[in-house]
Amino acid sequence: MKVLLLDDDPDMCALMRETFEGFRVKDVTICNSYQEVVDLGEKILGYDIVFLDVNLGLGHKTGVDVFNWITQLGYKNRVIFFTGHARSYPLLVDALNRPLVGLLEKPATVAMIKKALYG
Amino acid sequence: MDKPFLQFSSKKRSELSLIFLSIMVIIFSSMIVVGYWGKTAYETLIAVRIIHFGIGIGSLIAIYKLRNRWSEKIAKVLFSLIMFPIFFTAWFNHAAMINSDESWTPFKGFYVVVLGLTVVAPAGYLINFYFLLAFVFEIILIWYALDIPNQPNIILSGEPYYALGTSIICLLLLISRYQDEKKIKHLAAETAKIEFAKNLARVLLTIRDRMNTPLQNLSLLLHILKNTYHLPEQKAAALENAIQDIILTNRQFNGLETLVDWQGNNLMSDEEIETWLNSLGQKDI
Repeated sequence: MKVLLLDDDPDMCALMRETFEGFRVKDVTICNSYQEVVDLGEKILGYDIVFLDVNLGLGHKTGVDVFNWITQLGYKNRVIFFTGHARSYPLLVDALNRPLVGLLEKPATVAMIKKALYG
Repeated sequence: MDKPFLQFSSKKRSELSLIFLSIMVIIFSSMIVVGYWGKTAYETLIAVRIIHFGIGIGSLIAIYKLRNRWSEKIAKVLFSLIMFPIFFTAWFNHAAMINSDESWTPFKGFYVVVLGLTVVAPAGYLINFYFLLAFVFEIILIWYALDIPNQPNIILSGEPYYALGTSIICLLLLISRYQDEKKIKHLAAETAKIEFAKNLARVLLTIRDRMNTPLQNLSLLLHILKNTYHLPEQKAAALENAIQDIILTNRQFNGLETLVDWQGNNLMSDEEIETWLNSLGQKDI
């Protein structure tokens, strides 16, 4: 399983990678910004699941922008918004109505992360 | 671009209204003094008008001198000083006309005064209301005390009913203006409350958002430590409970998300939060 994780906090990314590895997921790519995801180009289409944080720092493009970009590129696999925002967050409502798009509310337990990973 | 009159602060409106009234008093007093100067039967009227002229000038000077420490009390005092002599000028004006040979219509000046009181309220509506009532009373007083209906040189033409009718209509208009302004003030207060709630929601959601990632890190770290370093179960449980308590507290803010305009205003920066908190210290909540 190939996993992409987008979050602006490097500590959390490192801990998430370790957690994923605990679930025997070895192919984990970490991105800290919108640009780093864009730099991946069409390689993004090869990931099985993408975890997107929404707020990537004040004044920066958000995880919703990344979602729009990868959707336009033709990404059709699973997307999990990994964020502190609730399901009612207006900018997520449209995205969450699409198939294969889910929400994992931060802070999540390890069991919830595992469930999100394997559906 | 010039500020529309209605957008001026109430202080500015109060000052401008009093300047307007003072200038009107100066103009009308000057006209009477110049018009009747040297004529017999008008001596007292001219004296009263000169005093009123002086009050108009004095009022303009006071407005200028007190502009930096303006208050509702100052506005009320100056407004009363300008308006009060009108009772005397009206009385002496009618008395002088009775003693003259000219044919004249009574209460003409009252129309200007009551209409002015309806439009210009530099010190709140209540004082205008009392002045208007007092002028209604004076019309009746002049009518009977100076025996207006029996004066030979009077052209009555429907008086005092027109003057009284106009005054009553002005009173009703003033009440209506007062009620409208009360509604506007209430609406402004409600809008301020909503704005406050929105800003508070933004601050709380910003704090929640900033706590989420550290909490997530603590939660993952605890899991890793438990599995890798075999933390004593009791201590791990205590730490887990503490994290869970903070998580539950944090989730209580989720309901605020619908209050915030996420399209225009996202979470706040440190500077924005500081500015907002400082602004709270400067006003009554």
